[in-house]
Amino acid sequence: MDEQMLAREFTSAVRAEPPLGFDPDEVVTRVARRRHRRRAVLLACAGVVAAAAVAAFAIPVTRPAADVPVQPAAPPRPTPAAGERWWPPGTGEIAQPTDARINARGPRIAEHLEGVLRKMLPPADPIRRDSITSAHFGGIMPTSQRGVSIIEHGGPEATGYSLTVEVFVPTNPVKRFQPRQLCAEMKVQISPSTTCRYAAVGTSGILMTSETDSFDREGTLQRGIAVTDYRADGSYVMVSLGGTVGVIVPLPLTAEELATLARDPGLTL
Amino acid sequence: MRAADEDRFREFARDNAVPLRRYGYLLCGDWHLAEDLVQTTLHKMYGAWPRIRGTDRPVSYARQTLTRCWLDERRRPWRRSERHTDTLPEVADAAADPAVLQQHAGLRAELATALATLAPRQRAVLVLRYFCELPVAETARELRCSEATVRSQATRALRTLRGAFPDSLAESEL
Repeated sequence: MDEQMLAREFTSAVRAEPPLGFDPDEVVTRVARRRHRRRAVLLACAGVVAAAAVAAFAIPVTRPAADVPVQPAAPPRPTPAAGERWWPPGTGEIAQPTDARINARGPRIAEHLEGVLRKMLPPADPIRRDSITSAHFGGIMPTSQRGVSIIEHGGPEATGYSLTVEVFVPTNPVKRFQPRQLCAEMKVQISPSTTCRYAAVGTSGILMTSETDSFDREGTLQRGIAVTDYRADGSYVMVSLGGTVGVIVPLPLTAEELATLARDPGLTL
Repeated sequence: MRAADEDRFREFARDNAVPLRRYGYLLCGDWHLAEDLVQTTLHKMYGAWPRIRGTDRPVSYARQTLTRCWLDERRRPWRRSERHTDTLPEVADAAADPAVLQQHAGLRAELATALATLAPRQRAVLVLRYFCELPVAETARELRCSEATVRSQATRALRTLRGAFPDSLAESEL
């Protein structure tokens, strides 16, 4: 056999190829959507970690740049002004679940979540799990967190919405923060249009809700809602809901319903 | 990724999915696995696209990625245990299934068997040199090895193929 024969054999072999079994456009759409969701999760994590570190180093709240239009925060709501609580409570270390525990809890949390969602969402909305990740989530600051991140996709494949549920424990050494500092940092990290409100829960917890209206990369105005239940045991559950890039999607759950979901006792490591 | 970049990547994926699948098929000898490799390659390239779109070698980058995906695939334990021992038995209704016919319409069985005996990198060298028609230097760059290695791998691979079926291929109409 010589090189020419082999070249002819190769060419002849691919001449009778079957039709392409996948749509390249669809592959790109799929990977773009997945990366967009992952980026949203990482941004949210980075925002939380950055804010925690800001609080820990007692740096004054960052003022937005002069040329950035800042919308007023959420409608006035009763919030603790002076003597606002710090989170996580206490000054000691937070008990860390083992990796095996986190890995084992991931699928169970996801199953529980889907059971709850089936009751909360419109019956006609199909939901499917997009990903479940048990990992150590880093950020741009020293504090990181460990836990489980679950992304569910609801509604039609191309025009639905995505719901991200994260159950995390900050790793030691824990950086404590106050909610107002976290809200201020969210405006910087996510969008100046972010509105943020929070309330004390129980003796040591905080429930924080942020809503953002921003244009996605295709110029479509998207609404995103994130509710975080910072719990008294030092863990926290963040639930965030958003639409699809390029499509105006009515979100199926309100901030209050997301708060109910975030506070679900089944969402725990 | 910006919308303009994503559009360019879509265009790249549309234009190169078929050529990449052909390349993948000649590496692995299976159209279905070749499609999986192309999709994995596109997934990996998406993240790197802003970095490589400015270069003049996105196709080369795609081939390198696909080659690595295939080599990784070959390293998987379940695939290591797979061994081609004989030709597949004919089944009575195989001719009735267009998909089966399509699968068998590619590499001739004896060449496919001979190629399967080659080391993965030797096979990649042959496909890059004699199907993609890359010069030695370019082949070496894509496989991240020296030009001497490419030459020696090609020589060894061709010697193996000649030994595998010296007469049948020579007599056949290629």
